Amino acid sequence: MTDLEQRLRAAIRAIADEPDVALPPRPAVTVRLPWLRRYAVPAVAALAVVVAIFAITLPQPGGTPHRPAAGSDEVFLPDEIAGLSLLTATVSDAPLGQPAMAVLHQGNLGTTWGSSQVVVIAADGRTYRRLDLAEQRGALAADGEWVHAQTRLAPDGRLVAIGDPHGGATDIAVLDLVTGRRHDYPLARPSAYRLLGWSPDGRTLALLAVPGATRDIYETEPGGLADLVVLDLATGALATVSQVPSAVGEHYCFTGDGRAVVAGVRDDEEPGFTLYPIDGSAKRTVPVPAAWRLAGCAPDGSLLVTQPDTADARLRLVSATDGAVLRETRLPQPVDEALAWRSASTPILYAPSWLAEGATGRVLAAPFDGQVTTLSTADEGWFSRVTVLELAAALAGDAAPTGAGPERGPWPVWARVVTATLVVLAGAVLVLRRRRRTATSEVTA
Amino acid sequence: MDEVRQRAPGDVYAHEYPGLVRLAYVTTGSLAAAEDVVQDVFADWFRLEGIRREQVREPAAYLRRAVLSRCTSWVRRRILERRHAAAPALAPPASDAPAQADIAAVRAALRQLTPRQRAAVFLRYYLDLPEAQVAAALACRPGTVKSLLHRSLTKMKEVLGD
Repeated sequence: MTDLEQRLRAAIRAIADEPDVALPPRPAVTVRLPWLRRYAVPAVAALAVVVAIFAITLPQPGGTPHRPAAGSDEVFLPDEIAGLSLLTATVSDAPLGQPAMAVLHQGNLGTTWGSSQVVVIAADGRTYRRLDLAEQRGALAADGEWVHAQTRLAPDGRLVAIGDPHGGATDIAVLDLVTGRRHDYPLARPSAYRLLGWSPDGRTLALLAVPGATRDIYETEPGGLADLVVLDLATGALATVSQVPSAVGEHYCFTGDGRAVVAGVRDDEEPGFTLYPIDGSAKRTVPVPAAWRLAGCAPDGSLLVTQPDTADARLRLVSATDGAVLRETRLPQPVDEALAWRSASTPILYAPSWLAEGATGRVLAAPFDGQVTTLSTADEGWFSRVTVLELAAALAGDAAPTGAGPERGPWPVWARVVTATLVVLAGAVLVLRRRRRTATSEVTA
Repeated sequence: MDEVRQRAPGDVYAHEYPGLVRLAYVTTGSLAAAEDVVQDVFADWFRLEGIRREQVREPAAYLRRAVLSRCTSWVRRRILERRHAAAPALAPPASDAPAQADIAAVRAALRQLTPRQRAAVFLRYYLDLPEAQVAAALACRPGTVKSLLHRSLTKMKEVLGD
């Protein structure tokens, strides 16, 4: 080492040693969580947000392709109709992709918050959807409860006609349940109308209409005399058949050949039910004793009548020609109108729970010459009570009970938004708790 | 070094702190800055998790390198802040000891060196580190250390008048 280097070394040491370096207390530091733990919660929260946003913005399915139930032509009816759920997807968001087996009005409290719903069950017996259009077209009744629009399911289960409970209605909505496509058929003039039913071939829809433009009044039931009108679905043409008496709750049905509409209303001057041929020809009356009520039109042209006011629930098939009694049977509980037919002598009927106190609602196959069987049940619960039930007449006769389902489809947007919000809030709470815990765990020297 | 590595973090702090402050002082020319830099480096050191800290095979070298990195950053900031001001002071203590020509000359020479050159001089002539370890502390190749030292010495020789 040269002298110069020694001098340099000494000088540098002197300079470096000049400061009086005192050892301060060891610096206090915040203990950081391990990297994974530090970032896991924020990462999970961020991921949850991304997933939630993705879920919310996910395009709604435009309808699943038609899916034959059970991989064949078989059709099913749920052996137990599921209670309503707020998480059931709507037909608008997720069409059935297949024909419907049933349409039901379910629940008790009439609100627009889902406490009562119009529900469609697909032909696979397990796919449920809310028929949101029928709910939206409802109206506030005089008692303050929301009443859904009337529905009529076509025999093939593909179309459903949806009414308008307001007076001054201008159209009839017909919804394709397979695709979700809607078609509105305008009325000739604003009317209060009531949908009666489909012809057996599904080409004609019958309704009662009372002209009037008063819009804001709840008028589901035209009263007094009303126009019996038939709508040709193919052309959209409306034809007035006749003026007929109208009464709340009475049944109307197309005869088995689809050529006439039978009115269950008894004209004071007529000792029975009146048949109105839709071609406009002369009406005729089928004499039926006064205690009997029209419950359906059999495929063979006979009429199904019942005695609703008696405890023993008698059921008769009578001739549509002269009212002669063809068959008679007794049922375990009172029944409403016929929903479909397994054969000309085996109607499928709904025995609502409220017709027999404390009973379960039942869909019955009631042959006049055999044992009554229960095809489906509906609990008498607050959210499962079925107030209106319709079946696809051409499908229900072959339906088998199934315990599968319910499949309710994708969650509604509001449910996804609420869930996403809760996830984000939970994530935020976790992050804040983590940070607070970290801030309090300091380590000092 | 192995002995140091086996020590607890508190022991490493007590053992290395003074030397690191002097290194930072020579490099930055500011005792206050030197203390801040070293405190920050030790704060980070203590924040290291146990396993990660134990993975540091040479704590002293690791800490020196961290100190020099921060010193370089500090000096750069200082240069930007005082672009037209004088170089870091390396001021003599108030109660100046008996005048030593070499100390004054070296102090003046150090002012003309870059922080990196000053660090190299300190590591080599104060800590007596071999060039390989100086290179490790400066995060450069040994050849670069030779170059740094050569230029530094040349400049100081000029100042010392040799």
